Amino acid sequence: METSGILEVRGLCKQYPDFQLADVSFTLPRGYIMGLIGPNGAGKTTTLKLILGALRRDAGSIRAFGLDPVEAGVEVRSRIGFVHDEPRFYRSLTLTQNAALVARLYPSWNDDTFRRLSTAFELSLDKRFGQLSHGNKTKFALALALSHRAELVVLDEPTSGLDPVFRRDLLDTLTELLQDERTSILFSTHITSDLERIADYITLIQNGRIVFSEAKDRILENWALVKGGLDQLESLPPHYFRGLHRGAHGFEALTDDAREARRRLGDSVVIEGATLDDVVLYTTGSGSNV
Amino acid sequence: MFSLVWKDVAAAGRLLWIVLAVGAAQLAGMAFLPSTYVLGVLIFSALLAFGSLAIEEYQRTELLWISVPVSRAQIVTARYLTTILGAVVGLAIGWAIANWVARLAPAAAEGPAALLSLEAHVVLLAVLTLAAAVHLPLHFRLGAGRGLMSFVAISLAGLIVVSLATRLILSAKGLPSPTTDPAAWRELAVGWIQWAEPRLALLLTLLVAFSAAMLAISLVLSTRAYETRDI
Repeated sequence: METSGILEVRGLCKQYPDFQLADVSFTLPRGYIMGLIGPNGAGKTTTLKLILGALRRDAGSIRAFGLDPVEAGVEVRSRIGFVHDEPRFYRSLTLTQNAALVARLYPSWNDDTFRRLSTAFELSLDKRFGQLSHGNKTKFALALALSHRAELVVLDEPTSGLDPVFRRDLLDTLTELLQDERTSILFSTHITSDLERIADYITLIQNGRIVFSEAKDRILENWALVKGGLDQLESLPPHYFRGLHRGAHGFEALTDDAREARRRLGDSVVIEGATLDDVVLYTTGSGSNV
Repeated sequence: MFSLVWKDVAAAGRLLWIVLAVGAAQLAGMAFLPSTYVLGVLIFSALLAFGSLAIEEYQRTELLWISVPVSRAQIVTARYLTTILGAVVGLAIGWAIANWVARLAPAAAEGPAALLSLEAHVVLLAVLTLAAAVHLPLHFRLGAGRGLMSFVAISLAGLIVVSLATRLILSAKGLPSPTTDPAAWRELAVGWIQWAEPRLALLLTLLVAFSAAMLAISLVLSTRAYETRDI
């Protein structure tokens, strides 16, 4: 991974009475998509809100375009397009009226882009925001976020509640955005199949801590599911796997070093490529009974 | 800045027109009853002044405005402008309606004549400004719900303290109380009014300057509170 990027997060900490975001670090290079994944309550939204400057950090640093979002918030936010998990606009106003209120605040607002995206997303601009379905609210928020030439698009669970067809269209739109090699996308989701399609980097967060932040291809290359008998498990050192599920007759486990597992266990076990879903399930403990 | 003020006005949408129409009709009906009119125009103006806060909270759009390229200081300043604008517009409408009704029915205008004066409305504006100066820092520090609760608690406590302090001072100085000796109290009040009348311009200027100073201090406190608050 590059050492400098459009977004650099280092040692980010945020303390709540019942939750702590601790030492979160990752880098998003320009022109790439990063997926931020993790179970509910892991700290994804907190991390995104810290990047936006909506929350004040207790420690660590954030650099977006080389700027601190707290000190240079206006400059940073003018270059970020943000879609919140539950888009909030004025319910009694039409989409055109809501868009006009937001557009005034962006010096680089492009009305043609907004109209083009609204048409592509099949949004009826005369409708009141309160009349829209959750999916259409997200589409509208996305159209706004992409209409001011944002260099960094931050999406908090944008595909939850969307139908598969629109999810596919959305992912295509996001991929198109990257064609200019100028825009980067930070995408939080729990639907890992979306990320397998489009993400370049994956950052997994759990209980407020980063489990890993790596290139997706490297994860899919190195991480694997190992299936074998219980007797083979006895010969391995404790914590050899990143996650383990014991059954009555055998085990299924996740390794982050498929090559080493293959060398050590050979043909006595079945080793197959892990999906991001497997990685999340085992590393967050959801699929593990170690 | 004015884009942020405009979004508050635009957000009110149809509700604003309903409040304006119903409020204006009610004020027209109250224009001949001094105490009712004062209460009515205060509520009407407060609705216009603080209504956008309620709309923002109800629609939970705060995070949207935090995500756009404006500073928190701009958001706070715009909110103060909207509040004062709402109060001024509410009182101006009230004053215009009261005058209009008084002209339509001049015989009935004797009672509330003093209330229809511009000076009386300036006093009401100062009251609303002081209310905003107390309420808005609480709103920006604690959020809409807890901010409003704290404001109501502080206002009630303030009224009780002022009422008790007035009674104690009157009693200590051997002056009549409005409840125990209304006639003597009325005489005393008339005396005060006679003292104040020639100095009205000066007293009004002092009141407006005090309100403006309190609002300026309040703006600084609100900005500091909002800049460090997690949204």
